[in-house]
Amino acid sequence: MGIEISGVSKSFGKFVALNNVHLNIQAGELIALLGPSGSGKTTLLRIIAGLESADAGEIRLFNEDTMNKKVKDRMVGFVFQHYALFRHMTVFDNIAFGLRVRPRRTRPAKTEIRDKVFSLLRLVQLEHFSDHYPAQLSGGQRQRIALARALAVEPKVLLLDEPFGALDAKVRKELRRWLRRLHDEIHVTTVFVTHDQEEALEVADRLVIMNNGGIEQIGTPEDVYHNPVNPFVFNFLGDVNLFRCRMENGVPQIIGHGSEATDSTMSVVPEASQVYVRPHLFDVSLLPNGSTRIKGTIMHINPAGPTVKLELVSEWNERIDVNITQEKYQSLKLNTNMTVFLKPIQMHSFREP
Amino acid sequence: MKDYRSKNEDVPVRLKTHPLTEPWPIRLLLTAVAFIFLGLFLIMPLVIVFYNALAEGFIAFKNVITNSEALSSIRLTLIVIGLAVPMNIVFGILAAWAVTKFSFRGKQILISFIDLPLTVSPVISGTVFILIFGLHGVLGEWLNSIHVKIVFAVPGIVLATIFVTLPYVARELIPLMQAQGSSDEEAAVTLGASGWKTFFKITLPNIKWGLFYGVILCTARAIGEFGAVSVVSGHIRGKTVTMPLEVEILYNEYNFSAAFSIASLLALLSLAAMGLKKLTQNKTEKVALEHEKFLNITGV
Repeated sequence: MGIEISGVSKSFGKFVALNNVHLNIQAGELIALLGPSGSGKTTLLRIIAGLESADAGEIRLFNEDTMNKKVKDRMVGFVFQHYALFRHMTVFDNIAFGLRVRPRRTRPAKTEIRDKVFSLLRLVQLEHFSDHYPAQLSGGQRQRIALARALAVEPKVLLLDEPFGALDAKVRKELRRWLRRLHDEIHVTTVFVTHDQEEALEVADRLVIMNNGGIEQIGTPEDVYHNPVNPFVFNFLGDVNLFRCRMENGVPQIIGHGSEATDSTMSVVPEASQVYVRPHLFDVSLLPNGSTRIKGTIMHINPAGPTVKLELVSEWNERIDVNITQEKYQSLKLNTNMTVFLKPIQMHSFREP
Repeated sequence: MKDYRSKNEDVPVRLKTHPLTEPWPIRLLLTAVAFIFLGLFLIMPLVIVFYNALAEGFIAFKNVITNSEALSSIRLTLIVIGLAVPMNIVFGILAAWAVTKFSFRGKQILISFIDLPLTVSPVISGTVFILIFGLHGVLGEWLNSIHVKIVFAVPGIVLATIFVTLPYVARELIPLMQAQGSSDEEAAVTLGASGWKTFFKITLPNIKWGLFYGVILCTARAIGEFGAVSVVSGHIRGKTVTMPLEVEILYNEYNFSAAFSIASLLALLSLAAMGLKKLTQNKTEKVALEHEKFLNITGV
C-alpha cells in the first residue's frame, strides 16, 4: 500500500479543514484530490507531506507510520502552486539542492549529482537551461524545474499542490498531458490537488472528490463522471439543471423547477422528487414531442465555441442552460425569443438523504 | 503651432501633459520650496560643519582627531557599534522569523513593542536603564555586590544603544519575509534540508539585501545616538565618552573647531551610510520587483 490515511482530522481555530478522512492510495497510482476551495484538499496534501500536523488520525507511507517522522525524513517530493524555486540559485543548483544537503555519508559524488541533474533536465525537456536563473524562465518551465527538483531526491511519494493553477489555459493543458506521460514513465505514487474538474478527469487514475473537509466520492474518472453518488459530485463535475418531477408509471415527469419548496405531489415519491440534467443532454425541438417535455423561451444564444450555448427561461420562469451542436443550431434556425421544447435525454436523480 | 498641426494631420490626439501634472509656475514653486528647505536645513549645516572643521587648516584638524580623548571616543563608538549592531542583527532576524513563520500568542504585542524605541524619547530610555542598573536601581545592589558596573560604564552605553536601535533590522525584515512567505523553506525541508541548512542556504540569501539595509540604518543610528547614551554615560572623558558626547563636551568648552572636527567625522560616517543605504535600497527594490515578476509571469 502506498499511502494509508485513516481518521485524519484537522481544524484551524473554529474552521474544520478535515473531518475524519479515510483514504487508501495504491503504490504507483496517480490520484487527484478535487474539490472547491476550502474543501480541505490542500490541507490533506500538506499533512501527507508533514508540512501540517493532523489533530487526529494517522498517515502511513509505504507501511511506515509517519507520526514521529520529520518532513525531511519522509521522502516526499512536494511541488507548489507558485513553484517555490530558489531565486538565488541556477536551475542546476535548484535541482541539485536535495542531493547536496544530504549528510556527507549519504551524499552522492559531484559527478554523480551532475549526471542525475542532467538526466532530470532531459526528463523535463529543459537540458539547455541548466545555468539559467528561475526569473529567466516562463511559468511552465519553472513548474517543470520544480518537478525535476522534487524528483531528484527519488521520493516515494510525489505531492503536487495545484501545480498548474498559476499557468494560463493553453500551457496548463500541455503540462497536464505531459504529467500524465511522465507518470506513465516513472510510476511514482503521485497525489495532486486541483479545483479544475477537467484537469482531474483527464490526468488522474482515480479521483477523490472532497467537500467541507470530507470525501464525497472516490473512483475512476469514468466512474465519478457517469455514476456520481450525490448532487454535489454531479454538480461539481459539470453544469447541471435541476428540476422537480413526479413519477408516472415508473417514468419521472418534470413538473417544475427543483429549487422550489416541495408540495403535496412530492410526498408520493420522495425518492425521485428532484432530477438533474446536463445542459448537453437535451433534445431541442420546435414542436412538442414525446411525453416528457419542457417549454422554454430562448433569452440568449452564444454560438462561439464547439457547441452553441442557449439560455432559456422555462414555463416556470426559471433559467435553463442548454448546449446543442452547431449543426442542430443551423438546422433549427434558432433565434432569441423563440419558444422551443426540451426533452431530457438523460436524467439523474439521487435519493434524498 | 504644434497644437494646430496635431489637429490637421491624421494622428491621434494625445494629451500634452499628464493629467496630474501641475502648470509650470506651480511646479517651479513647489520644487524651489523643497530645494530651499533642503539647502537651509541639510546642506548648509553640513557645509558649515566641514568648513569649521577645516577652518584652522588640515594640520589642526589632524591634531584634534588624533589626540587621546578624541581617539578614545572614536574607539568607544566603534566598540559600541561592534557590540550593539550584531546583537540587533540576531534579535532582528529572530523576531522577524518568529513573526512571519509561526503564529503564536502575543504576536501582535511583539510587533507593536518592536516599534516602542522609535516612539519613546531616548532620554527616557537612558533614565530607565539608570533606574534598573544604577546604584539605587532595581538590580543595583546585587550588581554592586558582584562588582559588575553597568551604568556610567561601557556596558550601560552598549545596552542603551541596543535599546534605541532595536527596531531597525526587525522592521526591515518583517515586511520582506511576509511578502516572501514560507514556501521556499517548505520546499527545502521536503528536499531533506535541516533547519540550519534551510536558514543559511535559503532564508538568508532571500533576505540578505533587506538585512544589509537594516544593518546600515541600525549602524547609522548607533553611531549618532546621543540622548540615551548621554544619560547612562557619566561623561568620564577618555572612558565613557562616545563621539557625539565628545562633540558636546568640546562645544561646551568653547573649543568650536575641535567640536566641528569630530562632528565632521560623524557627518562623513553618515554620508557613507547614506550612500550604502541608497545602493542597497536600489538592490532590495530590485529584488522585491523581481519577486513580484516571479509570481506574475505565467505561460511558456
